[in-house]
Amino acid sequence: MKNHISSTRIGEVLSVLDEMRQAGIVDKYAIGGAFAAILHNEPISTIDLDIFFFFKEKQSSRVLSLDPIYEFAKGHGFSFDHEFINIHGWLVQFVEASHSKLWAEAIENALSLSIDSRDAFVIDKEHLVAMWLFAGRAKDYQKIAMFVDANILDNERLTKILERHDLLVKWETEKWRFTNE
Amino acid sequence: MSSESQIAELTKRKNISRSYLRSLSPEAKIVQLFNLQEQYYEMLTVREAKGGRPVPAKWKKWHAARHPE
Repeated sequence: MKNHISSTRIGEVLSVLDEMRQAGIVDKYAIGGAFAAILHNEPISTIDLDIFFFFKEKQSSRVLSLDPIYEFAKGHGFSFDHEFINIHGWLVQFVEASHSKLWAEAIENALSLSIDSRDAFVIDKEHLVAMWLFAGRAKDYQKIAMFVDANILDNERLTKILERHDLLVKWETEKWRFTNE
Repeated sequence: MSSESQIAELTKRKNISRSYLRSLSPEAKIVQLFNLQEQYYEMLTVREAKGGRPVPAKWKKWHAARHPE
């Protein structure tokens, strides 16, 4: 392995997220996706860091634009390629969450973790499972199976979330993919 | 050793390893991810070099971000 950089630099990425909040671009945010799965469970391979967020200012256009994020990135010398912004060597993907009740609730209920002496907001395990169930791709079901196998879910809490977001039927239909039932 | 007891032993080892990984601090898990990414990319490049499928575009993006020229 060549050109290894010595630190993961994740703390610097969290600082950039804080800067975005202080600059009034991003309101609340939470880490989701496979990166959140790693923090709750065990390391798995993923290339990106998914950030679910709300804009500070509601956009008037009917079509959501991530321009404020890209302008911030440009201004700070971060390159980007389609959906990814390269922040200190991490491919960060920003996902605006206000159009989805489930995603919005996941951000509102995010946990605060200390990483590299900085606060990081991370979507909780049960909301992650509901989001993966909703997305329903093979890789999403794999992550649900990992959480079920690790026995780390609060089943009562999960059931309430699934009920609130009309996902209980889907859970019952699909659970053969990620449980032994 | 019977195959059943071999499976039981492997399962036990796997569970010990996984519970160790779960017990790591967030920072240590991120270091593990960092290393996993490097190993996975290396595996993809070896596969391509041996005539297999090319390295996926998203992994090329990852490599360019992690290892700028």
